[in-house]
Order: sequence, then C-alpha cells, then structure tokens
Amino acid sequence: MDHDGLQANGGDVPLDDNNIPPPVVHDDDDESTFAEEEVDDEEPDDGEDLMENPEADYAPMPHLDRYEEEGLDTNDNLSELSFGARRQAEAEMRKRDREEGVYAEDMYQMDDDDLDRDNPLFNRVRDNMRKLEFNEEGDMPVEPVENLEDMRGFPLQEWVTQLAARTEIYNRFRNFLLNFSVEKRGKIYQERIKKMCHANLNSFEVNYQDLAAHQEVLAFFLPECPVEILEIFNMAAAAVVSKMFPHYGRINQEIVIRIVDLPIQEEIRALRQVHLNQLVRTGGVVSSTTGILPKLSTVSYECNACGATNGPFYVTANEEMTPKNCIGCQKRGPFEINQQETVYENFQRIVIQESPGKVAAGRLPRSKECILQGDLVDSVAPGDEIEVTGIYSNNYDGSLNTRNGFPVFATVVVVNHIKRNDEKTLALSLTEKDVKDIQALAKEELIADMIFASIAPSIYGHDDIKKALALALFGGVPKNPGGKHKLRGDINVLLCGDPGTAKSQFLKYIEKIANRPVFTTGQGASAVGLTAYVNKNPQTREWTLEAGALVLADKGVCLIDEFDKMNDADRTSIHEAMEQQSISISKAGIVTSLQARCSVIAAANPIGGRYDSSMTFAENVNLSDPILSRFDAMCIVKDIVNEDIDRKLATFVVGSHCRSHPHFQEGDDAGFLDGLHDDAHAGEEEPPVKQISQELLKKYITYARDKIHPKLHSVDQDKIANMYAELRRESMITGSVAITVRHIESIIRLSEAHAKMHLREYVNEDDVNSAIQVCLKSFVDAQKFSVKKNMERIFSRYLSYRRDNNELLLFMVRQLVQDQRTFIRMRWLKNMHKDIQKGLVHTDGWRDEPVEISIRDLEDKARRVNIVNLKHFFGSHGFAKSFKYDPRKKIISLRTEAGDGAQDGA
Amino acid sequence: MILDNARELSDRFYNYLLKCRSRGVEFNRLLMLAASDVDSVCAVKILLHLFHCDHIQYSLTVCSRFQDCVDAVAAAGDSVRTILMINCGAAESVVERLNVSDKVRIYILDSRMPVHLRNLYSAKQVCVLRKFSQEDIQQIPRWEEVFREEEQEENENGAPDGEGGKETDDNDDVMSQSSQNFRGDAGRARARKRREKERELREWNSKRIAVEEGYYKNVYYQDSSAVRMFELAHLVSKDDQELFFWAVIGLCEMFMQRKIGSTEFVEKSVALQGHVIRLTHSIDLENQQNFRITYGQDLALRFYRQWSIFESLNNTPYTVAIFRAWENKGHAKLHEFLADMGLALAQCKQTYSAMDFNIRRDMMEWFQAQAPEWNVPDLISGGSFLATYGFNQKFQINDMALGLFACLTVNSDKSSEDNFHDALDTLSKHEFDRLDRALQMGRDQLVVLRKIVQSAFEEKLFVGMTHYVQVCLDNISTAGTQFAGRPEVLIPLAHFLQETYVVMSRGQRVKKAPFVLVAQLQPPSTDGTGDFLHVVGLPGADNVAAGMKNFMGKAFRAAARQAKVELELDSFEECLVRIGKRSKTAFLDALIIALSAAPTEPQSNRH
Repeated sequence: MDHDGLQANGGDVPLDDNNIPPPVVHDDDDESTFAEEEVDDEEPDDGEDLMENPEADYAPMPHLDRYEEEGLDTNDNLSELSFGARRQAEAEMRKRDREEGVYAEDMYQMDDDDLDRDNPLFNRVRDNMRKLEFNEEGDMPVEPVENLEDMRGFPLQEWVTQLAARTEIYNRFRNFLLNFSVEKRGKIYQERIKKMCHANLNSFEVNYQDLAAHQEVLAFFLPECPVEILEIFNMAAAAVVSKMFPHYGRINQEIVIRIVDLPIQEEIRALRQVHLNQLVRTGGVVSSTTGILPKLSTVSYECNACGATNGPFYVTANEEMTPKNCIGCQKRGPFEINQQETVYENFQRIVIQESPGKVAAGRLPRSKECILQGDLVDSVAPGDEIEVTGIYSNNYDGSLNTRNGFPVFATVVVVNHIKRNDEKTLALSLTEKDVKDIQALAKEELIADMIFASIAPSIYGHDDIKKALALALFGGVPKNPGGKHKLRGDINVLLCGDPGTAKSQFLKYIEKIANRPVFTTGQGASAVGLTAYVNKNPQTREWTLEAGALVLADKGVCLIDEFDKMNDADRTSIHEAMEQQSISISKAGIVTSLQARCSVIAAANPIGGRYDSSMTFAENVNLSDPILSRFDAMCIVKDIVNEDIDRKLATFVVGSHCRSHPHFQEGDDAGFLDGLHDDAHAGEEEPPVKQISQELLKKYITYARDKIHPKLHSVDQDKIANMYAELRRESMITGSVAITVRHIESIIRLSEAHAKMHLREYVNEDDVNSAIQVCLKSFVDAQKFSVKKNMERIFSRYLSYRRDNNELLLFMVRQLVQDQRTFIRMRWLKNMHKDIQKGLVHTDGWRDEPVEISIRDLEDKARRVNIVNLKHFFGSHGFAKSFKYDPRKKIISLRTEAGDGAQDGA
Repeated sequence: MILDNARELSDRFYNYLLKCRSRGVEFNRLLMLAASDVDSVCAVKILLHLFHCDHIQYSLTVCSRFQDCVDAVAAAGDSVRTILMINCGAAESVVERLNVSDKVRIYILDSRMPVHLRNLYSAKQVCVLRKFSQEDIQQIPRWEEVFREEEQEENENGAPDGEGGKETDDNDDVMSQSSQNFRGDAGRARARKRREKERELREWNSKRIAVEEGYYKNVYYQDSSAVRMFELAHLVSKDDQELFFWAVIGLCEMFMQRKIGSTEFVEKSVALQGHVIRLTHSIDLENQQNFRITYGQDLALRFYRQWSIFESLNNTPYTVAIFRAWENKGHAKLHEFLADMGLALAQCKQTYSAMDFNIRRDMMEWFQAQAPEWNVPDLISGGSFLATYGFNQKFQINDMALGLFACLTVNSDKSSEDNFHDALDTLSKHEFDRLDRALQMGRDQLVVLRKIVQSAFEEKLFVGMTHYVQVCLDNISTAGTQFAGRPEVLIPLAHFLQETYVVMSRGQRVKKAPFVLVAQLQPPSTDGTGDFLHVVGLPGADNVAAGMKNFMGKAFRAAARQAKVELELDSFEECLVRIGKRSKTAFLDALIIALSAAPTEPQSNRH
C-alpha cells in the first residue's frame, strides 16, 4: 500500500481527534478512512504520467477542495456519545470491517482489550505477527510496518529510532541472515556465522550487494543513518547467532556486522559535509597508528553519600554520561567511578593518507583519522594499503574552535570494516575465473616468452632487461635453513646504461605492475630515508621509529632510480637490506631490527654519462664490489648506432606515440604497423609472440607469487658447479666483476623464478639453463669489449641456450631431407635398374619424386636434444623459406623453388 | 585349587604365609613373580605393605614373559618353598613348566582367564586366588571330561596332536597325588575289557579336545588382582586410604586398557565406593587437607586436568575417533562442538588449572547438556575416581593408571625390573613430583599414539580384508612415528586404531570384524636385532566394548602352525606375538585362511 499518496492528497482532510465523528461518508473509524481513500487513489483513471509535473498536485485548488454535499452530515447538533456507547459502536464497526476483510489498519488497535479474540480471521493475523516477531518482548504493542520506506513524515533519522520501524528492520535483517542463499553455495550467512563461531570471533562480514539484492530498503537506509541501523543489525545478528549456537553468549556477547563492498568509494579528499554521519568507503595508506588503549564502554558510578551504584551508562564518542541524581538518595553527587562494573573496550586511532598513486598532480596527500574498535584493533600496520568502510562523523575540537572563532568540527571515520590490499588479500581476491584464466595461460607453451614480451610493451627491444625484470617480479623462494638465518628469495636487478635507453621507463613500468612498489631516486633518498628513521613524536614526546622506503616496500619492490648519484654513505646503508633483508637500528635508545623483504631494482648511469666499452663494468660504474655482488642480474644497455635497428626503433616510437594519442582511432596506425612488420620480415626476425594483457599479467604474478613455491628437486648440480668454477676463473683473469658465492644463490633464485613463471612446483633443467643464461649474460656484458668476444665463445654453450634451437632444427630437417633423398634414389635405382639399363628412364629420374618427411621423425630427433615444442619453429622464417609444413598430413615437404637449390647441393 | 571367597583367602593364603614366617628361616622366604603391568604393580604394592606390617620375608622378581618366571624359579633353587605369581602363570600349567618339587606351594593371583585346568584341579600344590562367579564355574569343564585315570597309557598309545597332546603330557606328574588311590581299580578294569575301553577312550579323547578347545578359546580378564589384595588387606584389617588408592588404580587400569567392560567396571567401582565412604570418613575428621579419593561423574577426557581441554579432546581416543581433528572437516566439527557448548577457544586451549573458575565449575553441566545432541554420550563417564592430595591438583585415577602404564612401557632401554620399581616408587606417599612425571609420561605416550593413528589414516594404511581389518605400521613413512617401548604399548595403540577406524567407516560388519595390527618397534639399544615384527590381534569392536574376549591368540597359533612360522610370546598377552620379519607375508596369508574359518565361531561360543 502506498502511503505517499495518502499524505499528498489527503493533506487537507481535517484530522479529527477522537471526539468529533468522522466527517467523511465512509462509515469507518478514523484510521480506516485513510485506507479507503488510498485504495481510491491507487486506481488512476487513465494512464497519465504521474511524474510529469508532480508539483501540480500540491497546488491549491479551492474549487475542488470541498466536500460533496451528499452524505455529509451537516447537522451540527450531534448528541455527545457517551464513552461506552462510542466504544460499542466502534467495536461494531470493526467487527463489520473484519468480516469484510478490511483489517490491515486494525493492528493499531492491538492494545484494546475488547478485541474479539474468538474471531478466527483475526487470530490468524495475530499468529502471523507472532511468527514474524522474533524476540519475546512480552506484550509490547508493535504494529508491523509493511512499507518500511514510507516514513510517515518523519525524517529518516527519527524514523529508524521508532519502535515500529526498528522492529521491522530487525525482523527483516534477521530473515535476511537466515534466508539469504546463493545458488550452489547455500545459505552463505549461516555458513559465515558458523565459521565465525568456530573461530570464536565476534564479527562477520555482510556484503552490501547481497543486502541490496534481497532487502533494498535496508540497503537504502544503511548508508543514510548507519549508527542506528548497524546497532539494530548487530542485535539481529546476535539473535541469529544465539539461535544457531544457544550458548555462544558465554564466549562473546556482542556480535558485530561488518559491511563490505559498499558500492561507492570516495577519495579522502572528496569527503564533504554531505557525508557526515553516513557510511562511507574510502581508501589510503596507513601512515601512523597509536597504541591500543582501553576506552570506556559502559561506566557505573557509585554515590559517595549512600553507596548506591548508578548505571551502567553507555559512553559514546562525544559525550560523557554522568548521573544527574543518585538513584538511592537523590543527591547530586559527588560520584565515583565503580571500577568493577565498568567495561572497557579496545580502541585505536590510525591515520590514513591518500595513496601516492591517487594524489592529483601538484597536490599534497591528505589524511584522515580513523577510529578502530573491538577486534579491528591492530589489524593494520603503518604502510599497509587499506580500504575502510565506516561512519564519517564529526567531533568537537576545542582548539579548532578558538582558532576559527566559530564552531568547526574535526572529522573522523569510525571504522566498521577494513580491507587490506596486500599480497595475501590480493591473492584471495582472485576470482575463480581469474584462476582458471591463469591456469589456462600457464599451459601455453611459450608462456615465459609471452611474459617477457609483455613486460613494458611500450618499450622496444631490450629483451634481456625485460627478462631480468620479469624474473625479479616473480621472485624466488625464501628459505630458512634450520630456522637460523634466512636466505632471501627476492631478486635484485641493476640496470646500467647510456642515457635515453628507457631505464627510468622500465622502473616506472614496474611501479605500475608490481605489488607494493616504492619508488625513490638516488638524489631524493638519504640513508635513513631508505632504511628507517627515529623521530620524536610531538604529542607523546617519545622517540618513535618511522619506516623508510625499503621497509615500506617489505614484500614488494623497491625501485631506486639514479643509483649512481647517491652518496656512497647512503648507498652502503642498504647493504644489509639487500642481502639479509632486514634493517637494524640502534639509535636514540631504540635497538631493533625491521623486516625489509623486498627486491631492489636500481637504475644507474655510467661514469661520465656514457658506457665505455673499452673498460670493465667496475671501471665504468662508480659502484663498489660489495654492492655489485648483491645484484642477481645486471643489465648493461649500450646505445649503439645501427641504422637498421634505429630505423625500426624510430618507427616503433612514432607508432606508439600515434597509438597512445587521446583521440586515436582504430586503423590510423595501419601505415606504421605495416612498416614495422615489413621491417621485421626484412630483418628475418621471428614473428612477435602474443602479449598478455596487463591486468591479467598482474594477476598472474600475484597468483604465482602467492601460490607457487617451486622445489629444487634433482637439479643438475654439476652444471652449476662447473659454470661457477669457470666464472670464477674468468673473473680472476679479467678482473671485471667479482664473482662470489652469491652468484650460485642467484642462479637458484632465478631458476625458481623461472619455474614460478610456468606455475611449476619444481625446478627443472630448463629453468636452470635459463637462469644460467641470465646470470652469465650479465657477467659477459660487464667485460671489456676486447675480452667479451672471447668470453662469449667460452660460454657459448650456456649463452646460446634456446636461442639457436631453430638453426639446430633446421639442420635436422635438412639432414632428414638428405636421408630421404638418398633413400628415394636407392629405391629408384633398385626398382628401375632394368629400365635404366634399357635407357627407358633417366638415371636421375628419381629427382622428380616428392620428398616428404613425417613430423614424427623430426619430433623424435628433436626430443633427443630436449626440444619439445616445434610449433614455434614451423613459424620461423628460416623454415618457411625452404620448407612447407602440412599440419593435416603431418608431413614436411620442400618448397619447389627451394627444392631446386637443394638439388644442386645433393 | 580355588581359593574363592575372601575368607579363604585370608585363612589359607595369608595365614599360611604367617605360619611360614614362624616356622623357621629356611622356609620363610616367599618368592614373588610379578608381571610388569600396572595391576600387578598395584597388587605388589599392597602386598608389600602387608608384608612390611607382618614381617614376612620375600623376594620380588619382575617377569615380562613366562621364560623369566622359569629362570627366576630355577635361580632360587630349593631355598624357596612358596611362590606367589602375580598376573602371570594362570594360563600355564605352572607345576610342570616351572619344574618345581612337590614341596613347593604355588599361589596364582591372576586376572587373566581362562585358568589352566591343571592349576584348577590341582589338589593342594597350586592355589588360584581369584573369585569365580557361578557362570565361570559352569564354563569350567568337569573333571571327568578332561581327566581320566589311565591317561598314562593313553599317552603312550598315541599322543593326540596340538595342545591337547601337550597338556596331556603334563598331566601325570601333577595329578600323581590326587589320582593315586584310583590306580588299583583302573588296572583291573583295563585288564578285563581292553578293546571296548580303547574305543571308549578314543571317543572320550576327541570329546575332551573339543571341550578343552572351547574352554581355552577366549582370553579375557576379570577381577583386578590389586582389588583382590585390597580385600585381603581389608580382612586382615590393615587397609587404609593409600591401599585403597592402589587398588583403584589397578581396577582403573583394567578398564582403561579395555580389559574389562564398562558394566563390569561400574559394578566393581560401586562395590569399592563403600570403601571410599568408610575410609574418607575417618580421614575427614582429623584432616581435611589430606589425601582423599572421591567417586563421581567426570569428563571421560584423558589427562584433561593436567592438560587443556582442547588438547585432551584432540588426543583422547574416543573424541579422536569422533572428530578426527586433523582433517579439515573434523577440525571444523570440533570447533563447532565447542562453540555450541559456549566454551571459548582461548579457555579451552589453556591449562585446565588456569581456566576460569566459573567455567571449570559449570563445564560438566555444559558437556552433559550437549553430549546427547552431538551423540557423544561416553564423553561423560558414569563414575570415575578422583584423587586429591591436600591442596594439590586433583587428578583422575584413570589418568594415573595410564601414567603408570607409560612408566612401565615407554622406556625399553631400562630393564623391566627398573621400570617396575620406578612405578612402585611413584605410588609411594607424597611423591608428587613422581606422580606428575608419570602423568606427563602418559600424556606424551598418548600424543605419540595419536600421531601414529593420524598418519595411519593419512597414509591410508587400513586394509579391509574379508574377515578382518589390518594395519601394517612397519612401513609407515611419516618421520617421528617410529616409536620405542615395550611391546605391550602396541595393545592400546591397536585399540585406538580400531576405535577410530570403526567410527569412521560406520559399518556393522566393520564393528564385528577382528583387527590385526602389524608394527615394528624400534629395537632397544641393548638388543641390536631389529628383524622382528609384532602382531597384535583384537576381536571385533563390539566385543571389545563389552569386555574383551580375545580369540586372536588362538588364531595366531593356528596361522603360525599352518605357515610353519615360529611365534614368540614377548609378553604374557596371548594376542601379542612376535614374528620374524621375513615370515610376515607367509604368516599374514595363513592368518587370512585361519580367520576366514574362525570369525563366526566366537560369536556363537561366547556365552
């Protein structure tokens, strides 16, 4: 039923008090008139649009605002009905109504004791009501509210404090908790309550979307007046819990509902006056937290005079309750707090600051105070990126007042729910579809190449850098042998090279894609800024420890640009962080060790700006051995003039600029793309591998980092040992980069990262080879130009791993073709020798027969040298130039024009 | 000879010992042979107390297998005239096996049934100190059924195979005194109708074998020896609170080790409760803080008073079987159970003594209210004994019994004699540290057992044969489950495994199926040979609950005979045998055959 119509149109109906008989024709009592009228209103004569100009309905129309003469009792000299007679008449009328089935409004009369209790119709209604009513509040008269959204003229704040509305909200929410179910998952809230009880917690999460889907009115009320509604919700939840677990009260009396997934998220800077006392959702980085303090929850007072205990009083955020008069002796005090009956609760204040990424350019990040209570306390630490759902409320602040001269309020978010955006929760937030996608992706044969190619797709070339960075993003497996000391799993990478080689671009890209990145530059960072600094808290005057960049990047990535511009002293401060992954502090009476489990990715310029190939790496870069040996991979980028490559690069850059223009349209870049592809073909490059979308890549990395912990199973130890020995020897001779034991660990880490990339739970040969390749590459690149060639030759078998597979395969194919041809020739000569002797057939007639080799032969041969995937090979230029692949028949045949060339060779 | 009622016990046993004392030096030494189990520790403890009071000289030897008894008697030689065997020997024909002269008197105090017929029908030399109920008496074959005057000839004619043969071999020495006067008549009778006699004899013989087989088939327990000795002490008016404590431990141990069923335990403990009232009454008057024993309802959780409720729930076999908390589902179920009861995890997980006082007070009621709903009625024991030493913590005597069992079995490096004496010392007055240590050991043992059960489940070691369930723990791979100790420790382990398995698989057939455990104990450091496997056999679970009647010993023997495998009894328990590692497969194969014939019989023969 729609009461809105009633209030709009019936506004001028004189509302009578009980003494005046109803002026309307209907022979109902007062309350039912509304019902009748409203029924009339609900049937519009025609399909006119009610919303066309609704304000017109309110315009006074004196010619219509009159009552019809007919049926109106104008007789003024009514005899005053006696009270009893009136009651009797009313009872009669009610009885008639009930028989007619008009009883909805009768609920208002529940408390009348002359109800016809024998009436079965009415009894049924009452029974229904009783069923709806959960708590046995005795015979408190509560009329059900069928239309909760009709607030009967009250503002919402007031409406929800009224008993009827409260009961209705209570019942609805209780039913929601009991009945809400999702297909296949059953009644999720009952399940959640069960889980909560198992863990003895006192709060559980309610999804706002679910609430909106099932009880839209509650979902509509909740953000508007959260304080009252949440209180009712909590009560309802407690009732449900005590129904499911009757004795849970012995463990936890209070149950708290935590609202998640509020649809609108506000930035901290977007919070305004309109949000006051509403449920808001905002996010930021926790910048500081206070200790956990007990807060008065309920307090009792003892009267000094008579000793009576007053209370308990519920203490709210902004007012302190004190009794006015003693209940025992009516004195006005003095009172003393009764310590035994006073209840405290945990309380913590945190400050959240806008995330660095979300601050608009040129603005300083803003911050907001949040209040955590109950079990939320201590759930976050400084540096955590969190999302907060809570009540935006104001409190009186004296100092602000005097400063401004008029009342100004400080605002604070009373937190209802906290969601942490760290790696664990991110991994948890992966949906089933995501996981399925990720696992499907992992099954791709060239997944590693795809990932390498997808790193910084807007940068052309630099494949080795991309490879190193990808490995760093995935990371190795941290180990803790015997619980004595930790072995890091994070991979540190140093990019070093000429200016303008996109080093900073790479770092910026990593900042976007990695979890928990912290970006600093060498000039802007000091030793303490990187590690941790001790600060005097202006309020408490105590020395407190503030985390530096490396600590903030714990379990993430710390990016340091312009690494060479840093002071030597500052640089040495991160030695500990890079290998031991901790930062030890002993200053100002604070002796502690902080965790800094992050991988460091640094970019540096060579001395004098340009890399001099005639000098070794150490001479080129102003970095000491200790720090260099801590990098697992070093990528040296040289800006070499090469017309071909430069041309391609230029095309790529122009194309990229073109494509990224805000008004870019599909097809505009056709010319550039063609050019690029032509060039690619001309350069005999392999066709580009498919790229992964950046979102999926991010999820992939998250998933791999969280779920996959590859084990070193049966690693080829000799291989690593030999390579290490060789490396040591070469490094001693040339004296370029010191090779230490760290490099063995590096190889292990890199191979673990490579295995993670394939979502493998074990490290195989392939992983180790790739790791060795990356490690050696960084070593060989660090050599003088003169020895480099020599060294490349020495290590060629490691370096060329996977690279000339195609050539090898091509060689194999050629060999097979050769064999096949010999076979055909022999057969020809044998079968036809009579014809040949007779001269009927030419001796070389066999050359016309088609040469076909089956794929299986090639696969067998390839498997012997550990090459399994041939698909890539078939797409390569070298192959396509002279051979034809028929996937249907599974044979390879010579291209005819190329066949002629081959014939000559044969 | 049976010394049945308590009066006879004091008259003919204890007075005899007293008489010996007064007779002179050469006769007065009593040799006690005690099995190394808890009941016997308690019985010895009580006896020692009596002997100290009455200045009876004794020497005590601890035996862990029957061969030890034989050695001990041989070592004692002629100096001993009286031998008291505690919890050992009833199953053997002692006079013959121990090879003693007829001047020696042997008293057997054993809770194990059945008693060897030779011991029962011995006229004077062997006395069995135990109660026989009417039912038990009926089960004993009558004299005519198993003995006959002309047995000597019988044996010469052709010895029947198997046990029957072995037993008849022994007969004539033992029976010489009693059957002396029949000899003349028998000779004449034989002369007259020899042929007819022979036929008759053969018939009788086959009947005898059947009867004996029926009699010896099931091994079961009755009547704790310690309680028996306490009754004796009561008769000679030397009982006190401590003696009672020891007797109760003996009784509880039998219950905890599933030697007696719960009905019997309740009967016995109700009988003992009279003593509780009598003995505590006098104590209460003089000193409230003294040692006290009370009897009442309690949680049937093991060691929970020294542990936390949560750990105890996680390790007590009964709850382990129901919840299986190492599985995710079981873990959730256990938590739900606790939440349902309103017991906070924080409280459950802390030491019982540190728990909130109100919770400790009300907890029993909570458990009682929830138990029917969760179908865990046995979580609350109908009655259990609770001991309090002054203001010290209370402990359940059930736990104490388990603790003593652990003392006796955990440490295989020390000789069983040392273990036995340790256990005796533990029972001494005011040895709180030792008590605590014993309880701690029991707890540790329970944890080890629980871990093995868990890994047996995780590795799916249960093999359901057609007629029985088998677990081979000898190739269990989980590290840390290799465990050492006396072989007796395998019996509670087998019970634990069986109970958990039965609850999990829920079948009626599984409930009835016998259970076989094959396990390898870590060899004690003194004994380098580790090529032995131990095999434990238990009857079906329903049988166990009603007071175990174990026929597996016999099945083992049959299987061994068939597979020609050498069996060794490493303890007094018939259901616990040792076989060579190599003969495992052969033995188990033979066991399948033996059991496929057997399992229907025990059901029909039990009553």
